[in-house]
Amino acid sequence: MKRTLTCLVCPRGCLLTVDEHNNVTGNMCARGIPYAHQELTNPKRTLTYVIKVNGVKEPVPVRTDVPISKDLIPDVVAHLNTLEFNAPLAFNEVIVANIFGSGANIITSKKIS
Amino acid sequence: MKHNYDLVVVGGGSAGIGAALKAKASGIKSILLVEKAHELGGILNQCIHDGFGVHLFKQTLTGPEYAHYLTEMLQDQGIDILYNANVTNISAEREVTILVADDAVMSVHTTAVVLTSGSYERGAGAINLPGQRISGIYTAGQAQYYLNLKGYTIGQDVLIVGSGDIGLIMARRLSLLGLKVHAVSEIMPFSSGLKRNIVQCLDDFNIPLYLSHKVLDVRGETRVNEVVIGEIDKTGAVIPGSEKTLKVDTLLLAVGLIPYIQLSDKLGIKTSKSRGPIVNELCQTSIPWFFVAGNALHIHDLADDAYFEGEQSGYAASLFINDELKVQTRTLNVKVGPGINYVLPNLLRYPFNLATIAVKLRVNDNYENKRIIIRQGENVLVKKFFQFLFPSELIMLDVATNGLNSEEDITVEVLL
Repeated sequence: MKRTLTCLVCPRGCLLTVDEHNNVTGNMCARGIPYAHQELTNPKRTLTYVIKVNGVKEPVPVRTDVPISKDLIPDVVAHLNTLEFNAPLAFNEVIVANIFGSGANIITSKKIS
Repeated sequence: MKHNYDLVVVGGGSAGIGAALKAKASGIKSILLVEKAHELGGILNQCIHDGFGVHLFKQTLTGPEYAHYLTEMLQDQGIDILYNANVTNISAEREVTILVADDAVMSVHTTAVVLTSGSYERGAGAINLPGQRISGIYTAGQAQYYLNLKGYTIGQDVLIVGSGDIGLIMARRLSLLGLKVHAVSEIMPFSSGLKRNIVQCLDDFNIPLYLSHKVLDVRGETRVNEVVIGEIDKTGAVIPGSEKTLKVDTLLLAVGLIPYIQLSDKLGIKTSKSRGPIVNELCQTSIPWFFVAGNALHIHDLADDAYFEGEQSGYAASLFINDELKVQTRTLNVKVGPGINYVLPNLLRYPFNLATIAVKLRVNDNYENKRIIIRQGENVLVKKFFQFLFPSELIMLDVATNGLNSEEDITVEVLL
């Protein structure tokens, strides 16, 4: 069965076709091939979000340091909403390590003094 | 704080920081950077999603990370920075009036100005939004500011109007926050957003995209409670029976940005089709000491491009301040040919001061398998093939000035 998908690696957005033998076509560069295989088996995304930090008025932006399984994202968001954090936080400080065993860390996007 | 500066940069976003750093690196000693917020980075700070910095930092960063690195680059450079400060006027005598929050109004004299004041959003009036002007109608950037920088909530059930990247990114952001995005409505038959944002911001969250749809009514007493949209045909007429009533309490307008150029307007500097001031290849306006870059000049797709344009303007301002610009004897026009929406620069000053000129343009429609040419008279300077051309994609082409004569105007066109 052939499948088509849009490559998310770069802004170009190549339309990829993957045939029954896992051959990828439509990719303008080599990065499209592992992307297509990943997307069909275990699609991953970088999550960005904001957290509340005790004593800090403004929300604090955070991110995963590497993409995580798309299926995990609702759970990660729900988990982040339950956690308490305290200042100070360094830039790109790991605030949750290896979240749900995914290998990805949640890190800050901003320094909070 | 001094009272005399060589250069005042208005706005500490991507372009302004690029301008200040490049001017400093080019030997300008006294530089003042004026920023209206309490931190540098401008709109980057509210863009918490990633994808920034591929060209400048060779990695994909979130907006706040990008702002962090830009701020680091500015440290210990000897550039004066004023925070919480608004430039309210720049006079023809080069007096810059600055209103500092919780402080006095101050005035500084400068040799040159780079305006990097960014852009503002088109709102309900700009699209003739029908219906009531009631609570629950936001521009996308305003909502982004409330959510990401203030921690406010904006509503529960949302319709987003406009499918450019800002509308798409807000659809994902709201979905992650637990709001229900009922749909994204787009008046054009295609989205002007990146394909990858359609996938990762809409498809990932099963949000429908209604193309060729316009808002027909906004209803509610004091707060939005429903919005009616309908499909339009090629003439813009609503197709009977296509109306959809969406039970939403929030309407987000993501319908475009316009350069914010009050300060150059006050000086009488005229604008071009990009809605920004008319400039030559040095980002220089009709007032020789007044330069413009970033979204104040034209709307950019990438923060990186705004940064690089800021650098160009900062370098050009340094040539002006150091009196190193060649005395101008002629002006060449850069003309908007068939298939082009706008092109920058609008003018070239002769004799040239740069070896290459970065020509920036947007096309006026979707095209396939077309060539863009830049010519002087009949002499073709650049000819480039594009498989796809979209109005949403800023195109940049370099022109070498040693191939140009001093007489004829330049024309940029799509070979249709």
